[in-house]
Amino acid sequence: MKKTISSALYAIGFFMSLTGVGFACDFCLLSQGVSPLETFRGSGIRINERYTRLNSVYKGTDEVTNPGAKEEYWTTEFTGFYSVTEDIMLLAVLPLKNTRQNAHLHVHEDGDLEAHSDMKGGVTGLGDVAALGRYTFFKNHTLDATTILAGVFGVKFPTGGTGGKTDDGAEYLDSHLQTGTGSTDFLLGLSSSYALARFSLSANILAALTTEGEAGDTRHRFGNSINYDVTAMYRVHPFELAPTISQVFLAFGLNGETRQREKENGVALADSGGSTIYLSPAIRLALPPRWIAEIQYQHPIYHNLYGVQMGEDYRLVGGVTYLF
Amino acid sequence: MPKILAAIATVALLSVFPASASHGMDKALLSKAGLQEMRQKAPDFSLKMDGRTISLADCAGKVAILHFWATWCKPCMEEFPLFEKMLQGLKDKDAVFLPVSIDAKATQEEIDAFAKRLGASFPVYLARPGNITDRYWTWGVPVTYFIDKKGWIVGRAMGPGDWAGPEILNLIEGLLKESKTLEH
Repeated sequence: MKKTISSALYAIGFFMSLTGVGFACDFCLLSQGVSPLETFRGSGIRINERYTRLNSVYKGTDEVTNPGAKEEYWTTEFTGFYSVTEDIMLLAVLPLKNTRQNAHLHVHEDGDLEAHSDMKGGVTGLGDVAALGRYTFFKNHTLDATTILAGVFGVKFPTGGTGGKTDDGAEYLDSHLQTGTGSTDFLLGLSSSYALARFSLSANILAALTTEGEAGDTRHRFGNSINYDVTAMYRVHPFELAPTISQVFLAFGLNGETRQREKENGVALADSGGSTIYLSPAIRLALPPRWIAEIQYQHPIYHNLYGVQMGEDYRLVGGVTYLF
Repeated sequence: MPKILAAIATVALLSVFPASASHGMDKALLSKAGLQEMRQKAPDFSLKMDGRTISLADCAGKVAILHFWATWCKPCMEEFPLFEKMLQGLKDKDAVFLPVSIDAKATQEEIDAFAKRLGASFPVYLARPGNITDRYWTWGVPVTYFIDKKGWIVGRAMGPGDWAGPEILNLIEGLLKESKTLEH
């Protein structure tokens, strides 16, 4: 058993260093908290903590003066993964969410912005659980390099709450502040990686096809979205891998999301949807035989949000993986 | 957006068809043995020992097991008894085992003594001063390559393996049965 674990970790270390499992897609599905492309070989559980702060307002690509609205999101994700075969992995993601806004951003018809501090509020609870499968359909190992392509398919279930209200109980919070989406959504993606010695490059893309669900007292549909990332990773220690030696990786990624407008009772919301792109440096530590830890900072470098919306200032992600 | 989604769906559908076999041997044997499948002509190499040079040409017509290890690698040590056991089953067969130490400072005498202490009766080789680590991936140890009779690398094991287990022995038997003139 010890040998199996050791081999698994070595394989993971090798995989991370050579085939570059990226810090993929942590921008994915903001309201669902799913990172389906972050996968390992073997089986285990991963716990992720993600903090996101929105304290800026954007009109298209331009940042405009924020009248005082602020949103914060804490997401704790439990991800279990299990390799059915060498090429097929199953994942289940269970998010716990805590959301908070200190004021609601209101856009007047004339374009003026106002922060409604009477609409502060937040919710805590189970988010939308997702089940995913990953199938590696192409592997090419040569002496110098490894290339891997995999397909991802998943379903996100409406297990999260959608009835959260403001602190005074007068109004429902906006749909993106709820812990769930109220809808069953489908995930489809591709994952690729190329590795050469201690350097690796990974690229992932994930599409989310949404359906309509209930949010508060409305029928709500989040827009379909595409998440993507390109991540380069370098093993800074050790020079030569061995199953018992801790490994340190530095990573630098470009990731983002493009999302269509949301619909409420069938009507598209002008101030929803758009694109955000991040630069994401990260560091990852593998501690044999069972532990992997990582921390990542995501800094938005481009916003193009439809209408007028709150935009993200940054997000911070920390994760620990335990291998069975 | 719909075009992109259609493209993703197409690729996903295509993905249900597994990659075709890239060489003559049974891929299941590789998979069961925990090896990465490879299809690459083995690069030539030279290993020196007791004034003698061993190269890939010396392995022609034989199944070659090229194993990289190091004295500082604890799991590598645990593998020596397993390799010893594996080789007991390969006596008088067309198979050659080349355990190559990637140690930067150890001498031949030191690795000989090291292997002997671990119960190995097989010879061990130093990668230096030859060219083998330039030509084979050795960024991590242990790593083990399986080369068929015709000089093709068919698989690679990353990390420690159960070298005396039936899966490995079945793989080697499969490689031994392969025709020397197998077309790749």
